[in-house]
Amino acid sequence: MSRPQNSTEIDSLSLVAFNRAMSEHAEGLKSYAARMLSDSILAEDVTQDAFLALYRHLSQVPSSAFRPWLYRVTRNLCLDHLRRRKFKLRLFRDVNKDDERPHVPVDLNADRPDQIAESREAQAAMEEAIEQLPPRFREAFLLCEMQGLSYEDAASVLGCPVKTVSTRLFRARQRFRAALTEHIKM
Amino acid sequence: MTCNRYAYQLSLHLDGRLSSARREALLSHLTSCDSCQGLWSEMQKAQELALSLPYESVTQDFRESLFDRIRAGEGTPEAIFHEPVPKLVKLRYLATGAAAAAVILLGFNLAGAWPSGQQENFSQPAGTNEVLASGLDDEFRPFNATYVAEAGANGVTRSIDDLKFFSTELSKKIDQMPPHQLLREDAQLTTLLKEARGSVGLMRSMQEWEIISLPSNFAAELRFMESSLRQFESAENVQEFRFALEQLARVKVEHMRDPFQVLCCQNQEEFFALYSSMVERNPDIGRVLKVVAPQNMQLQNMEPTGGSPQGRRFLRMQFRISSGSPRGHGHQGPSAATEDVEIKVEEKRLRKQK
Repeated sequence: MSRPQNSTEIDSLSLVAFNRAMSEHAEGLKSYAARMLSDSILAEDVTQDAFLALYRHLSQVPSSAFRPWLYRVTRNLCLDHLRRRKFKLRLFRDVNKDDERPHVPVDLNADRPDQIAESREAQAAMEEAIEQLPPRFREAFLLCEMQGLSYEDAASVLGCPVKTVSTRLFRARQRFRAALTEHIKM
Repeated sequence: MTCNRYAYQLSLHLDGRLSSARREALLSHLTSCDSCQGLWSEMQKAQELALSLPYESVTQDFRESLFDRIRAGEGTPEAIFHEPVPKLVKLRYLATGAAAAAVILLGFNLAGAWPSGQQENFSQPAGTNEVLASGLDDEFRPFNATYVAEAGANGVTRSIDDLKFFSTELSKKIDQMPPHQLLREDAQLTTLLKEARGSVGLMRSMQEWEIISLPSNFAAELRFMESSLRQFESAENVQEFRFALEQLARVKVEHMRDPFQVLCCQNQEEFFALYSSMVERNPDIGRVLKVVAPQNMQLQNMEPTGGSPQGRRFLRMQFRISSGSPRGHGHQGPSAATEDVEIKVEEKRLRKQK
């Protein structure tokens, strides 16, 4: 990744493209970072850092590449934060750790899976299932399954071949599905 | 192939990554294997659940605080340099831009390259070209369906967003320059207005094509946008200019953020080539709501498949293609064998806000 130029002049069309990128990708990037870091507040900081970096590199990144570029940068920033951490990642995100209620099986054969997902236990189970994925599988899952990146874009973010992305995603899906059956009747 | 190997293929099928031959083989296997059919159902349900997890919203001052940092001269976080992006990645995205341009040019070239003997038998639906030609800038002629449709859907919402984004700067400029001079001389504003005008014209065309599934307030919002743009461009004093800017800021663009494509092609080969390249190069492609196909292709069925309202959905289109000469004026006799073809395109994913 090249060093930024110190130019303070950004042409108007690049600025328009930058503004669009913020509207379209900020939430997806924050969601991705939040699951990488298990920290919603830090995820917003990282997302803002990514857009700051994009702004400084506007003359070097074609607008068609904004999305994978932003995810690549966000990933690097997340990995940097993770490397600096001295403690294990939290297992649950935004779940009350003092809650002693047992998981209640939810019937997935109901017609509205989105209604099921709204239940607190199901959401916690899914979040844990994602957290428990091996890091490489989890990254492919977050990028492709959750954020909808193509195999090719995910490959550029992760720095690996497309086939590797498809294999990791497949294995992540297997484990995610298996983890859910422990808590939720399918 | 054992069922274990089918599991990986099912994962690819979930993402629409199988070739037509492999997809046919897989679908054929599913009709006779309860185990794999059950696995396929589970995989779809698991994906729906994963996609039902809410997105993280950024805080309301996200944009403002970012620009505060930019104005303060804050530099690039050092951590982004820890893993350099391979040069191959940069070349790929450059190639994507060139390939996209080639798709557009291909459309232009094919428009004039009629297969011999077919030109007189082929006719586009009446009024299509005339509708597109009305009120459009030169850059949209000759039209290319992908570019026109995508610009019409995404472009109008983006161009209005862009105008809103610059409304603060424009407000300052109003004090320095009369509106008519500003509209004439400010290059940035001129560009934005040109984009907005073109996009609104295209959206009007979409409406006249009777595109199905448009939002219920589409017509009203389109009229409001056209009216606001006219007021904006005809403002004679500062008060009218500011009023028009405020009107534009109230356009409910969020109701028209559902992109869609209209494929309008002149022969079967062009249709599949254009469609394949669109899906391959543009993962965010929206729904195909209307297909204006050559006469040897009949759209049999078009329906959404799978997914909860918050999950990933696909639009499955089934075509019946008649081999031999296309039907049309002057064509005699029945067509030869028919072939059923299925195409699936992913709809733009809807997100559940936290």
